[in-house]
Amino acid sequence: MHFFFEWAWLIPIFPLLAFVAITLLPPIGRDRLVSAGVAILALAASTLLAWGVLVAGASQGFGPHVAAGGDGPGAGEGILDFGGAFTRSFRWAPVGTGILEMGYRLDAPVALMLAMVTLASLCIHIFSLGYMAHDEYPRHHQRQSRFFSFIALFTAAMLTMVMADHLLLFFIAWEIMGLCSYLLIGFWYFRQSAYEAAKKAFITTRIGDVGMLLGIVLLYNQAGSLQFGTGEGQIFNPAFLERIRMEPGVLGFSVAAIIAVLLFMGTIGKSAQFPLHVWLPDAMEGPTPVSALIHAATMVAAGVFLVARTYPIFQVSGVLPFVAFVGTFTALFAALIAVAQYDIKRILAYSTLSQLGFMVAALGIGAWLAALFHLLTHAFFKALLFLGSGSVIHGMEAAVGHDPAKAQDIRNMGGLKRYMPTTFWTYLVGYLALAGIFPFAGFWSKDEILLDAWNHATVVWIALTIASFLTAFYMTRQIVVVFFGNFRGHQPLAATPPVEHSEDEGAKVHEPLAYEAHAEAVHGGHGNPHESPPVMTFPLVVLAIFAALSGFANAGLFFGIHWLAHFTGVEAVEPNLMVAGIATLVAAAGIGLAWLIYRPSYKTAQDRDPLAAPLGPLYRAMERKFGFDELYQLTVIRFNYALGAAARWIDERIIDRFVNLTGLGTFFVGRINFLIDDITLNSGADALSESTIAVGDGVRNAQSGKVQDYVAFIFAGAIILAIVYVYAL
Amino acid sequence: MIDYLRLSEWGITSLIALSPLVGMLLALLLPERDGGRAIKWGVFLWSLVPLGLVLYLWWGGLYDPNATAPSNPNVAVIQLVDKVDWIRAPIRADYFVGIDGLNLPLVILTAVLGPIAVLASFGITTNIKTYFALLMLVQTAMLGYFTALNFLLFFLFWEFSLVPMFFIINNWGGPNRSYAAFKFFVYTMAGSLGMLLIFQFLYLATGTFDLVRLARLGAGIETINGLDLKGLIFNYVERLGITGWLGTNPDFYAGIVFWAIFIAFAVKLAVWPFHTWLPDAYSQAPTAGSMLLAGVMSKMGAYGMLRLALPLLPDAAQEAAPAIAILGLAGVLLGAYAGLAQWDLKRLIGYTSINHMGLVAIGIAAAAAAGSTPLGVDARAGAINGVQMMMIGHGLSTAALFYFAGALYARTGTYDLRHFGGLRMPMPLFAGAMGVAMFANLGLPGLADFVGEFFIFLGAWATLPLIAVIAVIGLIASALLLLLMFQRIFYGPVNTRWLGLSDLSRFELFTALPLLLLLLVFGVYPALLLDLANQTSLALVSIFAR
Repeated sequence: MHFFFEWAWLIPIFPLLAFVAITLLPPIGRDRLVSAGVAILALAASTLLAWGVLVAGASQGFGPHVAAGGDGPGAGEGILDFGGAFTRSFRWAPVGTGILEMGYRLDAPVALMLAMVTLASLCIHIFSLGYMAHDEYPRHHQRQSRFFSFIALFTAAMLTMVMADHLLLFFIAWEIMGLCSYLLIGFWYFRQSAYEAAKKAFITTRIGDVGMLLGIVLLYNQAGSLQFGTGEGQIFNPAFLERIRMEPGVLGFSVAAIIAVLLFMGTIGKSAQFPLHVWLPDAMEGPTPVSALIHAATMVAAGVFLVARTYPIFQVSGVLPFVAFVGTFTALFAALIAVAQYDIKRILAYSTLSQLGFMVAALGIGAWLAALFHLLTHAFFKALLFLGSGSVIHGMEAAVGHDPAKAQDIRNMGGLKRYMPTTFWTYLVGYLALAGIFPFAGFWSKDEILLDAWNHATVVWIALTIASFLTAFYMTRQIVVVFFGNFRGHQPLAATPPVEHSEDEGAKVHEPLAYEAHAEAVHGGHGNPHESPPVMTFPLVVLAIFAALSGFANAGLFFGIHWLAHFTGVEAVEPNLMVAGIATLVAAAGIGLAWLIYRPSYKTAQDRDPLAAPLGPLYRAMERKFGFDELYQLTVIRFNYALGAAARWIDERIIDRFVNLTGLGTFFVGRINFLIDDITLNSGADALSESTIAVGDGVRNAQSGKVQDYVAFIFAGAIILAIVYVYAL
Repeated sequence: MIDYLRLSEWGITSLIALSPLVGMLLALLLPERDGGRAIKWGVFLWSLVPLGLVLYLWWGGLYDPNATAPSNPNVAVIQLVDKVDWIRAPIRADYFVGIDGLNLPLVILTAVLGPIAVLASFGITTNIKTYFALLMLVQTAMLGYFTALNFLLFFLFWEFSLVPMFFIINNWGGPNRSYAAFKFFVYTMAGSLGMLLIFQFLYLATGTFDLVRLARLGAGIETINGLDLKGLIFNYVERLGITGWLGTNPDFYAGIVFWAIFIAFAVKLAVWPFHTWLPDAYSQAPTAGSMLLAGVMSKMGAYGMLRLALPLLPDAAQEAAPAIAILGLAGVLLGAYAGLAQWDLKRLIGYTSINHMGLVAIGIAAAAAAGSTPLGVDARAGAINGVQMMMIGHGLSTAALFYFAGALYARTGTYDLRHFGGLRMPMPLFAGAMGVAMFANLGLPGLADFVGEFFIFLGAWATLPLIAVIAVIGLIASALLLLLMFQRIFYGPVNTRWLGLSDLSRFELFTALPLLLLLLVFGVYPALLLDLANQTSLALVSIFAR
């Protein structure tokens, strides 16, 4: 079975080749079906390989397990070492006397992630085939082919990152994902909201990324390597971890703490944790399959995986409580916002923020396995929910036209259960999994997190339990408002697009866009919503199966299954019926309350939310996402543009003025010098005038304006100067 | 022969440096008919000759990247040396050129950009003959500058690169070309005066213009009467009798010498605050001029620092490193931020160059700065490698950006970002190609600039951590700047005025593709380039890691 390990490097290469082929080979790129086919086939091959790796790894391990030796004083105690691993690396660059090698590494968490990413992404690829079918552009644009090439690259980058055995390769793939998210969020680049969201995503995550880059260079400086592993010279080496734990950095923090915090900045950006969470909801501007990709299989999962991957450093750093705080706060904060959103995708987006908060909090309280488990199950049910919402939007467009502001507003929906049964039932599975209802996947993974919190951190447990309640509540609200009641889309809410801020628009006047009218004509209409074609519902069914069953990988309660714990070599936590009971009760309470409140509400699309009146200002604050976008707009962004203006002012008004004055001064001195020369030398030197005239003629000839003459003279001048230097000195 | 030099068998280095002169003759001799077709293609074909020679040097096994002197493993061997007597009396100056890890990457860059700049000039319609002759002259000047190992020769090429570039800007440039050309010329000239005087002084103190020997004196590997370069300087100053009123601290005089040399190169590199000539020159020069200015000429400054300033006066460099880093930091931040307030596409690209060259200055300072880290000499060598990669990456990506800016101008007649918008609709391929150049410039991993950034930060964190921490703000700001530029050109609804614009032509693709491919190749597998430089970087920094 070493076959799968030896050839595992092909897992990211297949989608990468698909990207290259679609982008560079016109016969493929010209046709949307061929491009999609190439991307899907490539990913299917990767999926097979990835599951092969998982099966092979599960049946025979990844290689000898090198125990993290106890040679260092007090080292290795309780520090994660990821079990056995299979690695291959190649030379990347010389660094002085050393070399920088990178490659791939297969171990238990990697195999699990590979299996999840390939499968979820494959479903998303297939779904896109149906979803993007109506996205029409002038023929030569090949926009749909472009779409498939981008999502293939996105997946390739994520797979590379997961497999990387080296933090720099990890970072490279991480950044390329940032590029893909930029390209895909801004896929409809002619819409201002889309390109602004794309830029926002890129810049916001980059703020975290530069912190991560600093963390990486600091780690490299300390360890002399960035290779994962416990061996000599690798970054999880017990003796090394002990050293950076003890070594003081700045402000009383150890070096390990500084590295961990800097790396964690990357997570805050990429996994959209507070306070860098603002980009993720806006990322909904991309086509819905992209949202699924970003929210489930790639991008945001990357941030959590970063902490999971470098966990030994976090374990010795002492910053885990900070990690737990950020995660818990985000879990609660985002769940609150989700309660008061109307855009079907935005609700899911805030739900993602909240669930990522769960994972980060889990990592923060030491529940590494629970975090990884939740990452995996969440990927399936969130991909399912996003694709389901895509199916809903796709169906809605038949009723309200190709206008995201209308087609995505849950107030315009209602009663969709009747029109789109497959979407409804699969969505329901995803919903139950997310709400944490037994026996769906989310129940098991969330329970594991709550269990660890119960055991180690009561405050976190309380906060996460409240967040679980809110999760059940807002998801029930969504289900009820979208799928139950009457269809309200025939009298849709007049769309009021959010005001976009842009400092840089200037006085730009555009002619109306011809293409948007075209899109409207192709895809408008005022019929009833309809079920999506099988190419879209099939992936939903596959994902629903995983959303329902993947929790059984580690179903400790009642079933006594600890496969995941066994596979990753982490000690299983004793199940606790009370924790699971409380969690279930809380979820049921959330569901019941939301059902009572929302079942009778929304008779028409224009109705107000039933919570708006009783909650008053709190509801308005939640609706406005607690105003962080506006806050950043007023502070950070405005400050940056002011700095820009200031820097330009310094250049033009101070430095350049000084330069120009110096120049003028020199001219002035030259002029005076000339006058003095003129007077002193020429006064009474009439005899020279004859020759002056002759020289003047010569000069006149020289000022012929022909460049070649100038060059010749300057060349001659330089040679004369050289001779003067040489002989006169 | 001395063991740190290896002579060339058939003068390939000289051929590389001087062969563009034949191109210049071609331009002058070929007929200027049919819009100069013969000249354009003749010069283009000839410009492939230096490129071919360089590629042969690179892959033909002529250059051994790991060669060190048998007598001292800390000395990298300068190879393919051509050294003949040039001037004997009363002063001695050799014609002395050679290749080592310090200049080979830049020679490659120059040779690659040569033909591309020629192709980018095919749109020139006035004074074709002169223009292409000047272009070839610049090429020779730059190649000569990078390979010269004797100060007199070095300085001659240095000044020579100015003259043709002055005329290229002044005669074929934009509306404000005259001001820009004069500013460029006078600024650089004024900056290098101090260096010229200092080297005359050094000659009097040491009796040589040989840069390799001076570097050996500077490092203390060689001595004259038991004195290294700093000692010789002080000795000479004492004889002049200045010490009476300027003090008897040898470091003080070494510092003066260092700063005089440094400022000359800082002007060329456009280190803040010596940078304001750059946006003017870059934005007013014709497309090929901007490509060469940004792509190669700004690197002449960094190269000078690495070849002269650091090795000759290592102690002074070490002392000055924090100050240099702060200037670099100012360039990184103010360059990016001032760029945010620009509406002229070419000026904006110019400001990104100031930002990048600030990083180069930080990298150079990091290699020289005092301090010890666990990584030791590797961090410093890494910083120099990073500087090399940054120079190559920036040269390629900025040249590509300027090329695309010129192509946009050819279609729309404007560089004003307020007039663009939505151009991705009529020209998707163009947007994609320019996007690659833009993201390379932004430091996206997988493309060359990132490798430079990473290694520069690696070194900077080792010796100047605070600078590194602040400098990352510049990375964010420059990303914002470039994304804004891209968005203003390509995103949003398209102005109907531009609906008819043609997409990237085959010719344009052919011109730009080598740049983009090289960015990708060096970004994915940097060892290809860094293997050439690494040994020399190591040798260069070994003086600082004491």
